[in-house]
Amino acid sequence: MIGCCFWVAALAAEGASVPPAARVAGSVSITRPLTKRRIAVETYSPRGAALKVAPTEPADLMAAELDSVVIYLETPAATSGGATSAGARVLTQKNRQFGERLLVVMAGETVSFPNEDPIFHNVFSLSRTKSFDLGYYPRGQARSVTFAKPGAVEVFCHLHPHMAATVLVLPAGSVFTRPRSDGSFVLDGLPAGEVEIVAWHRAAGFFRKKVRVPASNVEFVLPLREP
Amino acid sequence: MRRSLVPLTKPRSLARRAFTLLALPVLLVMAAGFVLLDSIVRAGATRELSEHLAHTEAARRADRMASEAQLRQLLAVLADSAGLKAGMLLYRELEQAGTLEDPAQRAQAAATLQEQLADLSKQLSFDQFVLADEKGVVLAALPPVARFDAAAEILENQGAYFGMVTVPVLREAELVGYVSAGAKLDFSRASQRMLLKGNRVLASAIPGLTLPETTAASGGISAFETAGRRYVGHSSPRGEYTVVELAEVDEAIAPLLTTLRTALVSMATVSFLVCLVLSFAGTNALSRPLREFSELLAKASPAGVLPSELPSDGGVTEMRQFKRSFQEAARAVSRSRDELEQAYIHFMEAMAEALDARDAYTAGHSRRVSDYSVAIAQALALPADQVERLRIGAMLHDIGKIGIPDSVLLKHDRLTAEEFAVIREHPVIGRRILERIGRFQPFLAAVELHHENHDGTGYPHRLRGEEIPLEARIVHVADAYDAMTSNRPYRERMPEEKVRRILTECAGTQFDPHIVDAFLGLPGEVLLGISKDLEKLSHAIRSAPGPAAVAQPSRDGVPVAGTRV
Repeated sequence: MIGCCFWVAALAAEGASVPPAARVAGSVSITRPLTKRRIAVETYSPRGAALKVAPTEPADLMAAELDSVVIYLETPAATSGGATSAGARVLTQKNRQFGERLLVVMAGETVSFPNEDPIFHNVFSLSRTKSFDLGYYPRGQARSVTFAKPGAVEVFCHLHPHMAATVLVLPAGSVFTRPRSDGSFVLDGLPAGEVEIVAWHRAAGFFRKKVRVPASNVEFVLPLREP
Repeated sequence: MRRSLVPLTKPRSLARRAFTLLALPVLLVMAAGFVLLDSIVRAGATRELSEHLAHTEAARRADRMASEAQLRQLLAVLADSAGLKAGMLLYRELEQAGTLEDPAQRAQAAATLQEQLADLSKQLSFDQFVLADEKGVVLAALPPVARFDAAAEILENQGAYFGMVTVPVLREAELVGYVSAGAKLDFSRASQRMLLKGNRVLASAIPGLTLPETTAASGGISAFETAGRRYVGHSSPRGEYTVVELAEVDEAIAPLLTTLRTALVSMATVSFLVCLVLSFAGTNALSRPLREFSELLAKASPAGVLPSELPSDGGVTEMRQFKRSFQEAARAVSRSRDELEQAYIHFMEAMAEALDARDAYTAGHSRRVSDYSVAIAQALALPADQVERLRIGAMLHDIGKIGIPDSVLLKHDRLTAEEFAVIREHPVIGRRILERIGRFQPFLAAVELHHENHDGTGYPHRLRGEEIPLEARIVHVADAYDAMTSNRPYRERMPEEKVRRILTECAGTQFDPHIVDAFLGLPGEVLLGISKDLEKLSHAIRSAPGPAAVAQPSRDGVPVAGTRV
C-alpha cells in the first residue's frame, strides 16, 4: 500500500464576494490508506486461471480516499452560508448503482430514492442514525426518507449487494465542503472567531480541529493523531 | 629311511566332498540372496509407500484446494449480502460514534450480526463460523472464538482445530470484514494425522512420535518412529501450522512382505530340494565309477590279482583314461607275472638240465620220477595245484646231487662209509640250493625228504609215517621204482615183476602202503609209456663207452637190506 503523503501549499485567498474573514482554507492529507482494500487472498481456481485482484493504482487510491472526505463546520444556528438545501434531495438508482457514493444532507431534509432501472430495487439502512427499509419497488417509483438526526447513514440494496452509498447528515445549517483532487479545500461563510472544523472520512470517522477563522493553512492530517 | 609325514586329516569320500562343494555354496548364495531380497523389498516397499503417500497427499491436496475454491466461491456469494455488510458497518458506526462500549448498543449490533450468522450456518454444514471486521476483530462466531486471524488456514478454538476458508466482505473495493467457515480437523486415533506448529506437536493421532529434525515446513516426506513402529509422513504446511499425514510402514507392507516371504520360502525350499537332488545325482555320477573301481580293487588286492574286468567308466573322460591306463598297467603286470612264471619255469628246466648234464646216468631220471609222481597223484585224485607242485618238486628232487663229487657219484665200486655219508647229504644240499628262492618253497618237501622212510629209518631227519609230507612219500616211491628199472653204472636194470615184488615187500617199512597200492594199480601202458624213454636212453648209454655197471643199491635209494642185484 502506498502511504500517500503530499502537502499542498495553502491556497491564497481568492478574491470573491465573500469577505476573507469568513474563509478557512487548507488541505487534507492522508498519510496512510484509511480505507482497507480487499486483501488478495490466495485462491486456487480449478481451471488454473488466477482470480483478479482489485487494481491499486496510487492515483485512484488517493482520489478515492479524498472522495470520501467531507469537511464541515457544525453550527447549530447558521446563517445562510455554504451550500444549502434546495428542496428534496435525490439519490437515484440507475444501472444498479446509486447515483452518488456520498450524499451530504442537512438534518431535517428529505431524500428521495427514485428507481430508474428496469428492475426492482430496494433501499435500506441499519444505521442507528436512521434505519429504514423502503421495500422493493420498480422503475418509475420513488420513495423518500427524512433524515432528522445528524450522522452517517449507510444505505444498501437488498437485491443488489454491491450497491452501497453513504448519506452524511450534517446538523442543520452546517457549512461543508469536499476537498479537491489535490487535497485542498476552502470553507466559506464561516463566522469569525474560534470554531471547530470537522473532517469526516467515510472509513476513518470524524476528526475535529479547532481553527481560528480566518485561516488559510489548516492542515488536516488524517488519521489525526494527538501530538 | 625317514617316514613321510602322516596326513592328520581323515580322508573323506569323494561323494561327500563333491556334494558339500556343490550344495553349500548354492545354499549360502540362496540364503544371502534371500536376506538381500528381503531388505531390498522392504526398502522398496517403504519407498513405494512413501511415494504412494505423497501421491495420495498431492491428490488429496488438489481435491481439498478444489473444494476449498468452490467453498470460497460459495462463501463469497453468501458473503456478498447487503445485510451482512450493513451489519458489519454497524459496528464501525458505533466505533466512530464512540459508543461501542455501551453494552446495549453493542448487544443490538451483536444480535443483528449473530442472526445473520445463524442464517449462514443453516445453509452450510460447517463446524465453525466467524464474522470479523476489517481489522480481524471477531464480531460474531459460532461457536464463539477468542481470536481470529483472517490469513490463517487453521483456527484453534478450545483445544480443537478447524481448517478455515475465509472470504472478504467488500463494499465496492473497500474491505468491510471477513466471513470464515471451516470444518473440524480430526487428529484422533483413526485419522493417522498429526498437527505441528514449528517443531512442536500440538495434536497427534499417534502419541509419542519422535520427530526427525527436518520435518514441518519442508512439506515433503519424512520418516517417523515410535515404540518400534515406523511411519512415513507427508507434511503440508497450512499457514504457521503443519499437518502431517501418516501411514504406518510395517502395517502397510506387512501383507506384501508376508506374501513375499511365503513365496521366497517356498521357492527356497524347492530350490534347496532341487539342489540337493541335483547335487546327489551329480556327485553320484562323478564318484560312482571311482567307487566301484576302488571296491573292485579292494576285493581283488588280497588275492594279489589285478582285475581284468573293470566297471563302466560312467562316460567321464578322465575315468575312461584312467580305466585305459589301468588296463595297460594290469596287462603289463600280468605280462611281468607271466614272464616271471616263465622265468621260473625256465630256471627249473635249466636246473634239471644242469642236473642231467652233471650225471649222464641220472639223465631223464628226474623227468621220469616226475611223470611217475604225477601219475600216482592223479591216481590218488589229488587237486591240480598239488599235482603241479609235485610235478615240479619231483623234477627237482635230486638237484642236490650237483653238490656231490664225481668220485662219489660215479664210483663203480662199493661206497665207503664216508662216501655213503656224503651221498646222504644230497637232499639237504638240494634244499639249501632251492630254499633261497621263495617261489620254490612248496617244492622243498619233495627235495629234502624224498629219502625218508615210512618206518622212520630214512634220512636226513628220520621222519616217520604221516610226518613225511605226501609229496615226499610219493617221490620216494617213484624214485625207487625208476632207480630199480633203469641201468646204473654198477648194475643192470631189474625186471618188472621183481621191482613190483620189492615194492610190495617194502610197503609199510620203507614206503607208504597206500602210495604203493596206488602206484601198483597204475595201468601198465602208463608205466610203459614213461619208461619208453628209458629204453631210448639206455640204448644211448650202452652204446656210449663207459665204465661197467656195478650195482650199489644204497646210492640211489634201492633197498639196502637183503637184495644185492
